[in-house]
Amino acid sequence: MPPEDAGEPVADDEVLYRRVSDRSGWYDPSLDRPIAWEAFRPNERDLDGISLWRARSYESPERVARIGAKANRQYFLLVLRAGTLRSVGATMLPTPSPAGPGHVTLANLSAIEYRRDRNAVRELAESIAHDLVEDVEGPFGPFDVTEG
Amino acid sequence: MIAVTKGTNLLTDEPPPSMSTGAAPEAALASDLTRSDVHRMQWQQVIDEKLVEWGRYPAQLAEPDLIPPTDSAIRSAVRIAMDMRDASPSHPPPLRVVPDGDGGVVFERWEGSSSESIEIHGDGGAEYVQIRNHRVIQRTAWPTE
Repeated sequence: MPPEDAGEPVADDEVLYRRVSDRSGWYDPSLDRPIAWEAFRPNERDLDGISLWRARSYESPERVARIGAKANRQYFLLVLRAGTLRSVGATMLPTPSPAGPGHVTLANLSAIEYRRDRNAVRELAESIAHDLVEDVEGPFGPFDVTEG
Repeated sequence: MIAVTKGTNLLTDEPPPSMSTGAAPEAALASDLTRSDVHRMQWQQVIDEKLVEWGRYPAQLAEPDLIPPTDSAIRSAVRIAMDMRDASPSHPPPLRVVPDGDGGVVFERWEGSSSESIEIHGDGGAEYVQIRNHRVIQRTAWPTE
């Protein structure tokens, strides 16, 4: 069983996933900039920051892709390394989530930060999307779920 | 900027190197159509295949991390796309058209380390944003009326 790590600080060598659906268009391998910065833009619900998931908390990336999955969709995981995120000033906080274990928020990319300084949020999102994503896992799904 | 900084405008001056909208390749059409004609068709595809579809079925995009475009955002995006389509000559279409995840829509083009985007927000307002080397060098209101 993977470790339950709620509250445990995120180590520099940890892999974190940002989950995106195929319908968002935020990952398009046909483009020379395949990852859109919008994948890291907070929305009004992201009061503490956008959600990332700790790889160490799951038996496989596919299990992360299943979190809250909707019918008839596929999901990609954008692979990030905690240390490289810190190198550009990102702050990651373990934040328990009812959706599953290993939830981390990226505090610099929150709804509050966006309202305070949307240029700073845009610049950090651009940097992460274009320079810091180490790999893309997937697509995973579609999954057999009851809610669509 | 799309209509401001002539000479540096990715959305106005240069042909698109590729499209993510499923538009027909320019080379295949160049013999019979002008570049402006092709751009006009590509903008129309943005309207028909993305914006209208999102407006009809916003729930198809909904995720915990993605609030679908609002009606106001879709209306403004369609209006801007029509203006770009109908300009003479027609403006180059965006390389990427995506929801911003917070009720809005973004049109974006890029070349090298520079990019331009029109961010249409959930309230229907819009901004033009120019980026160079991951830095915002310009952000100005974009007319939507």
